[in-house]
Order: sequence, then structure tokens, then C-alpha cells
Amino acid sequence: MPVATTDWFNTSQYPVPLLVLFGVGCFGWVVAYVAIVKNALRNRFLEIPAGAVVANIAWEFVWGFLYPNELGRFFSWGYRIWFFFDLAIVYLLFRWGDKQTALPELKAIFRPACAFGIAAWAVGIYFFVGEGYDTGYGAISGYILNTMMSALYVVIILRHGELYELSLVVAWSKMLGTALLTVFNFIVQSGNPYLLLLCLLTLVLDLLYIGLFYLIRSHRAAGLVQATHEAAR
Amino acid sequence: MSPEPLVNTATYTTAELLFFGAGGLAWALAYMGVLRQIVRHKFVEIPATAVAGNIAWEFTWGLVYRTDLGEVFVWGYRLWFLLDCFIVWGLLRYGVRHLGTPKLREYFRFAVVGAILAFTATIYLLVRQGYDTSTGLVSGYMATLMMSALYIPQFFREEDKTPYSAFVAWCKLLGNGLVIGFCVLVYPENHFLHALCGITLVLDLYYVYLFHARRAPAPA
Repeated sequence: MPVATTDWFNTSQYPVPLLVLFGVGCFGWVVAYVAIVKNALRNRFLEIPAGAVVANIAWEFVWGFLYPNELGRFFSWGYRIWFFFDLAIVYLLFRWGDKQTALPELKAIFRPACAFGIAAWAVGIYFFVGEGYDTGYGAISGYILNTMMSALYVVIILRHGELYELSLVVAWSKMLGTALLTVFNFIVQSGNPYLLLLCLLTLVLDLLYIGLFYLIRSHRAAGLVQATHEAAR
Repeated sequence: MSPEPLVNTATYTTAELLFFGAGGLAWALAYMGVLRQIVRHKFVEIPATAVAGNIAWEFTWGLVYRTDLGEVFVWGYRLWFLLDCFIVWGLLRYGVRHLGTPKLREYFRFAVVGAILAFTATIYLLVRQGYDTSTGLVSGYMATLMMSALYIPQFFREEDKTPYSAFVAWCKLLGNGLVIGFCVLVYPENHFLHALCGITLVLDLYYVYLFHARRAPAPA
């Protein structure tokens, strides 16, 4: 169970440069969230995988509101800001998320499935932390989601990358944001090889995503594929 | 050192061992049902990601770590692994035909092998870190939950539902249900495991409902 701290920044346990590193990594994700929303409004297509959205909002709710953050209260508020940004993404998920699947039967149950997914993830993460499996700032549950998200992003770009122009800002900011948090974990959680493996897997998948992004973009530039913002209107 | 007992009645009650044993048997039957469909229809009904997660779990828990349920169960895990080797073979041979993402076809076999390796390393370290039970059920239900969730879109994807087996659907539900009984009896304090079990059960029940609703003959 994470230990509550009344400090805004827990400098007694974490040196300032490390807290700055963590903060910058988190900011990378804020940039990604803003770019995701912007691109969704432009394309009328939500590029972040549905499976990742439901897990993310659940994680942010549990870690923002139900458990204290060992890094300090400032970071609890940071998680809450993520949560509020993510509400916009969840709204877009319910509005346009079903375009991620071409299966009519899945489209028919898409919204209830998302609601179930959010509830299931929230319950799962709540008890995962309660059982003492997580670190004091949610890194293990966070990276389980992150690895899944990065894998699903690869599927999304292979499935939809030629039809919709996905965001380069998202590709880089999510990779860099996660990479900085990975560095933080390598320093702070060096005795937890399970977490470090999840960090490395996520990094590999994020780099693969960026590689695929540029590959598809070069095909588009060569006229081999054509993206359209009107694709699904 | 005394030899390991066939069944560990010192730690587990007979009822608990029967729950696990019957659940494990139902899963072995489910795997045989999947193999029969592979031979008959050249189709692997278990989603590819779940196959990778399963074989990784069975390898880790069958050959690297050892369950404390007793020798019979150690070999039971190995039997699952052996059966799953044939399922992986079927997946590598026929799985590419049923992909929902055509672009993924070029990378399919590479992705399957990569996923098996990644899952194996992850489960190995999860256990080493002390996050699992001595029977492997935390990592086991993480993999099972993923499978139960992925079964639903996979079922929707195939227009022809013929290759899906009612026998497998019921064995999977029964197998999970019985092992869940074991979890509730043996780990009454582990609410994370209970959450995994509960979500898996809901998904399995929904799949069985879907299966019968979609495969029921249309009214004349």
C-alpha cells in the first residue's frame, strides 16, 4: 500500500533532479494527450487504441483520487490533470472510437464494452495496488498498461495508418515521455527487473511505432497511399 | 530430502485439489477441442495474442518454476504445455489467414515469436519478483483474462462461425469456473486475484451467450 505524504514534493526520498525528470516525462504525456485530441478533431478518428483509453482513465482515476502518491502531492495533482485531459479522450472514444473496428457486431456493443472496460480496469488496478504489487507512484500498473498501449498502437498504425494521418507529435511525445519515466524507473527501481523489462518492452514498441510511422509517411509522399481527413465522414 | 508427494494434501484440502484438478482437466479438454478444430477446419480459435501468453505461462510454470500442488499437477502443467505446442504450431501454420489486419500478415510469424518471448520473460520476472502465488494463478489469470477478452472480437471477426466449438466454449468456462473456486478457497485475502477471476468469468459467460445466440439456427 502506498504511503501518504503531506509534502508537495517528497525530496526526503527523491532528489530534486529525479523529481524533475519524472515531471518532464509526465509533461510529455500531457503533450501527447493534447495532440491526440487535436488530431481526433481533425480526422474525426481517435488514434489512441480503445483498449488503452479505458485502461488509462481507470489508472488515472485510481492513482489520482484513491491512492496517495509517494512522490508528493504535486504529482497526485499531475495525475488528476491527466485524468481530466483523458475525460476528453474518453468522450471522443464514445463518439468516434468505434471507427477503430470494422466489425459491425463489435460496433453495436462498442460503447457498453468501453464502459465495462473502464470499470473492470478500475477494479483490477484498485486491488492490484491494494494487494501491494505496485510501487508508491503506480509504475508497475502504469507500465502494464503502457506496454499494452504501445503494442496496440502498432496494430492501429498497421490497420489505419494508411487511411488516416496519425500524429507525429503523439508518436514522439509518447515515446519521449515514456522514455524519461523509464530512465527514472531504472534509477529508482533498479531492484525490480519485472518493471524494468516492461519499460524496455514499451520502449521497443514505441520505437517500432515511430519506424512504421515514417515508413507509411514515405509511402504517402511517394503516392503509394493516400490519407484523407474525410475518410470516415 | 523427502520426495515430493503426488498431491500436496499437507497444504491444500482434498476439496481444493479436486477443484483445481477438475478445472485443469477441463482446460486440457478445451485444448484438445481446439486441436480438433485445427485439424478439421485449419483454424485456431484461440486469439493469437492469447496463444502466445498461454504457451509462455505454461513454459514458465511447467518447466522453469514448479507448482507446490504436487507431482501430479507439475505434470499436468507440462501436459498443457505439450498440447499448447501443437496449438502454437497450428497458429504459425494457419493463423495468418484469419487476421483482421491485412498489413500484419507480413509480420505475423515474427510477431508471434516475439510475443511468446516477451510474455515468457515478463512472466518469469513477475514470478521472480514475488508477485505470483505458488500455483502461478496471478500470472495465469492475467493471461486468461486477456484470452477471454480477445475471444469476443475474434468471434465477431469470422463471418462463418462453424470452426468455433461449443465444446471449447463450455470447457473454457467450466475450467475457469472450477479454478476460480480453488482461488476463492485458497486465497481468500487476495482480492486482486478475485477481481481477475470475476472479470474473466463475466467475459466467459458472455462468450458462451454470444456463441449460442450467433450460432442458433435462424427461425423458419
